[in-house]
Amino acid sequence: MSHKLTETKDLTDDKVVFGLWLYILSDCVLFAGLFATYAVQHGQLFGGPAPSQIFDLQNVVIETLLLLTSSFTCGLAVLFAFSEGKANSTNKVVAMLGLTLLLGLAFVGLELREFHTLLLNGNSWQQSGFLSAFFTLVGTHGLHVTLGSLWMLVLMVHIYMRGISTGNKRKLLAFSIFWHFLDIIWIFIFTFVYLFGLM
Amino acid sequence: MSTLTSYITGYVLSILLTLAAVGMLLEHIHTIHTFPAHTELMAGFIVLAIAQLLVQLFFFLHLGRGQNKHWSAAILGFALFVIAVVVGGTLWIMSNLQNNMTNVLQGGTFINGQVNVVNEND
Amino acid sequence: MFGLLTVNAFIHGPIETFGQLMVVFGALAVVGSITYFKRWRWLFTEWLTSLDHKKIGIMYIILSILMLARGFSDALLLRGQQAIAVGPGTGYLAPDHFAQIFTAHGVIMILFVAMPFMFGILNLLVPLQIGARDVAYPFLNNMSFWLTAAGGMLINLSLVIGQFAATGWLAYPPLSELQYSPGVGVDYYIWAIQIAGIGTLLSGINFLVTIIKMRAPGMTLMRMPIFIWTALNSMALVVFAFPILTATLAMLSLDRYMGMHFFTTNLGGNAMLYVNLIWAWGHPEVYILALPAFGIFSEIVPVFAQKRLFGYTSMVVATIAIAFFSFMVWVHHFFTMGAGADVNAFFGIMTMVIAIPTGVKIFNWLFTMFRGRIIFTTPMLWFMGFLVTFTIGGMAGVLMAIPGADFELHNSLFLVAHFHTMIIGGVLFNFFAALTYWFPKVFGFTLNERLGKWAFWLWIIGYSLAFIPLYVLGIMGATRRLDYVDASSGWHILFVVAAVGACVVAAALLCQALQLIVSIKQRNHHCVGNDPWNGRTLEWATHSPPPVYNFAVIPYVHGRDAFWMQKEAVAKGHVPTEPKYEDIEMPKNTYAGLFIAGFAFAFGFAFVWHIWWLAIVGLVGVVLTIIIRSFNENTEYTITAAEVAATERSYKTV
Repeated sequence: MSHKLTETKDLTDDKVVFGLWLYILSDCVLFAGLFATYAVQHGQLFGGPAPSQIFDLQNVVIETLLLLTSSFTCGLAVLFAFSEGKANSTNKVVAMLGLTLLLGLAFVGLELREFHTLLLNGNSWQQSGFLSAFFTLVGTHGLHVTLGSLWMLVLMVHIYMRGISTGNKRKLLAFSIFWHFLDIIWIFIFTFVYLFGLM
Repeated sequence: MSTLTSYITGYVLSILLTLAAVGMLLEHIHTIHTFPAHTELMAGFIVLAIAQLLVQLFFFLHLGRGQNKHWSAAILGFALFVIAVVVGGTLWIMSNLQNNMTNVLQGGTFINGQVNVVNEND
Repeated sequence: MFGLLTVNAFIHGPIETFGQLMVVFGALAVVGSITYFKRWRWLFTEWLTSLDHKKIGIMYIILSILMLARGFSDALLLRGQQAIAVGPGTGYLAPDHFAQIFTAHGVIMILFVAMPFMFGILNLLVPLQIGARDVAYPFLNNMSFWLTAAGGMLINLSLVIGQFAATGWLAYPPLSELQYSPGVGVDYYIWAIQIAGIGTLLSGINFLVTIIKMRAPGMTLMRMPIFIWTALNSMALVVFAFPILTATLAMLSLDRYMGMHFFTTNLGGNAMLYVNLIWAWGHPEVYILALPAFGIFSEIVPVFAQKRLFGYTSMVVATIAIAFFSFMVWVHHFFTMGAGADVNAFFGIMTMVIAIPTGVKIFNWLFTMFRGRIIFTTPMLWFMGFLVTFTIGGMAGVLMAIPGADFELHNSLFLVAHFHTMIIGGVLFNFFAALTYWFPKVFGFTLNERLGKWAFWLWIIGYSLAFIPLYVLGIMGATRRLDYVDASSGWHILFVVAAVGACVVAAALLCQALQLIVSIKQRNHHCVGNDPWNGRTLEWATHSPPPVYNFAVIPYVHGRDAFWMQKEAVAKGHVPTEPKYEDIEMPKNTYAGLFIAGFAFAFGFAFVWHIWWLAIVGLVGVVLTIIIRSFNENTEYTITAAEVAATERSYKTV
């Protein structure tokens, strides 16, 4: 019943970690619903511009690399937290998380700029089924990244205040599962929204 | 395999797979949408995406390792089943509905089994 | 300042005002009696802030019963209208009000009666049957309950302030879009379900992890009670089906709030997409309810047939098959929407296929009863009632699985009779059986048998009178949701019979209420020990009611029907060793779940009435409470081994 764990390797068996895995799989189904909707709606242009006319490949590639790198730095944060000896230090973990946070916020910033450009050109979500589906699918992912960033910030405070305790290791591991999942969803947005759209 | 190697391998592979997909797209646009051809390009994108999914599942999420691995894999399997059914089913059903519910009298046409709907707002 | 909320929202027509006053007086009565008996402190410290799964289970069931009163009043109003109204403009309900009532009836019965009741039973039983002390995430458990209650409060509030959706329980667009439902009704609908839906999803994850990771040592998968198998599969369905509902309702709300075009009639919206997605959730939803209901009978039938369950392995396979197939039949809810023969044929065949594992289960129960020594207690009677009604309703379903036949029967009263049979016979009867069977475990005394039997017979008669005419009417061509009937149709007499049936069901419910009151008054004469029914599974090994830690020592499980094996070992002369008690850690009470749900309720209400500052307060409140809770490292308390020993000894002296 108690959550006390003695060895770090126990954490792969941990209830919280397993529960997070279940949660992100349920979130995958939520995104599947949005993807299915996008697949059905993406041709409903109603006189508006086609995807290839409003998608910016360079911007999207930069966003992809930002998010991918943040997934990597997040992994490094977990690695540092679970290492023994000198590598295991609160400051290193917090710094890695901080880097992850910056990369994540940069991603959101670029995405907001992309949305802003679309709105300035009159391509809002109110114009067509395609744009509704696009803004919702990409926006929901962006919202997840934003909420994940807030989670990350709180986690950094936890680790800064109380060090790399077992409880914080569990929290960090759980968070990293969520953050990696966000990059996995992005692979599919990148492919099925942007690459397909720019064909 | 230490976890640092795992993360670095995953990172590099993911970048390569991403750039490969972008490369294919640029080649397609460069050759004025002739090479790779449309269908091959789509297939290529899908293969690269699935490859990157597997890379990240294995190298970042460490799927297949740890005490929970059998249950995690079983639940992942069920999740993939549900996603395939919901997305695939929706596409099949909605295109079927579109084809069967197009009103030819109001200007929609059937050409080679494909529906062309006349948009009033065009 | 108050968004769209004006004084007009409080002013309704005569019948609606009556409903409004019922809710207000009901709330005042509850608050008043708690104040009168000076039980506020007790209520908060013992119940509302408790993380004990047994108490949370009881609270879920109480919520369910309260919402049943509301949902059933809706049913009486509908039956009354259809019995009286002959010709347009007759009867006592205006068409728009009639539509709100049948919408509320459906939403409440499925999402706020059946689902909470199921989670109540899961909460009470799952940890006990697997030999655990609690669920995997006790805090989430508490929060999930309060989120469900918040959703229910929003629905009840819609009766007092504003209106409810008038779209049918699934709120199909374009009717549910802003253009055709400009009022707040659909928004109440959306937010009540979204908030409760988060609670449900989290509970699904909770119970799934509990069953996978917290079974007592020695309890392999094939040694679990069948009820746990059905709970496992049902929770997998919850985790993977509810996100579809969340996404679809979110898209509907984006259409309504931000002018998007997912399901609108113009600019690329596709209303058929909504129907497709919502039923991709809707069908697994009914199996979410049905599977644990079947599992309940897999526990009850062996005990009252005094014979081991027949066909354990085939039951497991059938359960898993049903879970998989439940995701592959959803088009049968809209055969008539216009898909081609290929799509319809595939889903028609799949619908018939899913009846097969269900049939396997029924035969397994029958074979369990064969050559058993059956005791016809109230739970067993409920099983017999289920057997008859569910089989007939199931056959009606297989009939409608043929697309051609469905073109005649879709949205007719035949359909209405079918799904009510499924849910009343296949879910509600099961829950009543569970209530009677496990009541002594939870409260320590049995329910009055005689009144229980009366209630059963009144239910069976009432249900038959209320729904068999509907099967007939459906075949004769009567559509669902009619607010009046033409005299020339000749249908009127059947509607009157159905109304009589509803009154008999009302009598049955009163009987059940009476049973509860009488049983409580007579409780000292009907005390029971830990095993009143000669049960087979682990929950009967604990005391009645169980102490907060459930098991003083976690048992080791040697086989199926673990408790039966323990009893056999004792009968063979095995002397149990003196138990070695250890310190037990249990979760502390907390207000955080209440706060989160309260802020979520405020958020939902704010969004309904476009009170944006309140929405921000609600959202920030939820997030802040979660963050503050995360910094609390002191969430458990210890029961020392000595205290455990003392508690166990006190049971022995009783």
